[in-house]
Amino acid sequence: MLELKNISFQPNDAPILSHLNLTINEGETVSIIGPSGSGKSTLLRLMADLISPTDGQCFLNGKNYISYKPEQLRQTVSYCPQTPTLFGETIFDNVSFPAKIRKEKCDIKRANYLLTAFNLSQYDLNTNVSRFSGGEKQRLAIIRQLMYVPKFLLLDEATSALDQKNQQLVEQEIFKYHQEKGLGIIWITHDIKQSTRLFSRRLTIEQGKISNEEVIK
Amino acid sequence: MSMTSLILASSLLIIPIIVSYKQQLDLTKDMIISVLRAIIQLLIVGYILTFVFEAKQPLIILMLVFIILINAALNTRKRVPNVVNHGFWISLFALVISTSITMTILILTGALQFKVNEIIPVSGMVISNAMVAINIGYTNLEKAFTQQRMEIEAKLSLGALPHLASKTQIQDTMKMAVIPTIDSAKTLGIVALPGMMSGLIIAGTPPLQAIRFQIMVTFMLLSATMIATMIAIFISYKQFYNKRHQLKI
Repeated sequence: MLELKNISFQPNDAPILSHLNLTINEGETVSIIGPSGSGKSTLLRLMADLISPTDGQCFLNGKNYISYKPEQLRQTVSYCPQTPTLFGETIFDNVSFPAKIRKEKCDIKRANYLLTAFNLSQYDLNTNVSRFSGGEKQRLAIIRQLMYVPKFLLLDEATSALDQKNQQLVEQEIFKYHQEKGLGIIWITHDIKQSTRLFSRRLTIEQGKISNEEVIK
Repeated sequence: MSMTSLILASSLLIIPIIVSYKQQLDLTKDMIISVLRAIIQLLIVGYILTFVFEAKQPLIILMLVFIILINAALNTRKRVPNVVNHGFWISLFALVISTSITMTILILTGALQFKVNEIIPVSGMVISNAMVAINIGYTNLEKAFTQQRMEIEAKLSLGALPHLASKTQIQDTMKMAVIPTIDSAKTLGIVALPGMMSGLIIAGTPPLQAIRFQIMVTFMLLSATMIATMIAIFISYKQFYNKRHQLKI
């Protein structure tokens, strides 16, 4: 379970998040909507422990974030940023990075499976990624995040550059892990249809606060 | 060379000043200050060396080397990235270690003798090159962390430790710092006839002996710049992260 208790984030004069409380249960799927600059991405970055709140505390399974090693926490609560940044030169450089972190051998079979599932099967692992389109970059960034399935996956407009067909493919694959492995999903989107289609709860964030919370199913 | 010739040669400075002014490089002030500093510093050092070269005590030699080290470390302060604390001490540490290792090897192998007229010029060259490499390293480290922040955070998001998340940036920074020394080594004799070698030849040393000396200088500069950069960068990059392994920039 992820808990944010009375979280504020105010690095300068203007607060980005103020006194926000949020609990997300294990395996829950939550969509987040809200206008640009409302603090949605900051909220996800706080959950991923990439920044710390200026006030309030975050908890994972009842334990304060600071009691976890940062790398251990981020492998459990994994954040896929808004702008996909690919590593190195090839697809392999990207899909093998999570294994490198764990000092393990890259699971080539899984990498190839994910490439097919995300409609990138026309490429092999040695393909150079420098000419990838925005949509291809987004898909490869999500594949990288799913090489090891975390407990919570935080997605920041992760399919914004995809056409509808590929968007649905990506959604299906991600939600498969929700059904099979109890993956919790927290997904920021500007697509109102997407925000209700598959999620159990929808949050609206405005001016750094949760202004609306709807249980969808 | 007469004083008149030297003064006339200073007209060469007009070219970079005009270029800087025309291209709005904002370097004119820096250039004039650096030249004035160089003249004053060299004049003072000239007088000191005349006195010092008569000194034989090891302590005086070591003291002089230490003064050069402190000056070099002071000169790196402006390039230290904003998030890095104790830049002077990091640079001094890197310079002391790199100079000590290089000079010790040179003395132990018999390439150099522990004499003031050998130790001071050679250590000056080692420290100066290491200082420049550290400065390039600092500048590029800050640039790499700022410009590639998203890549580093993407790696942190996957659970990477800081050293793995910023490995590419550290490697690139180190390469950038050492490449000038490597490039200059590649062109030795073809493009550049280096100062020390030319000086020895002008002073009447047989060319082959001057070249032997220059080869030694090349070895020591490569070694010193690599050691100094590695130490300075490896200590500094950690300060781009806080205790939670979050980027501070």
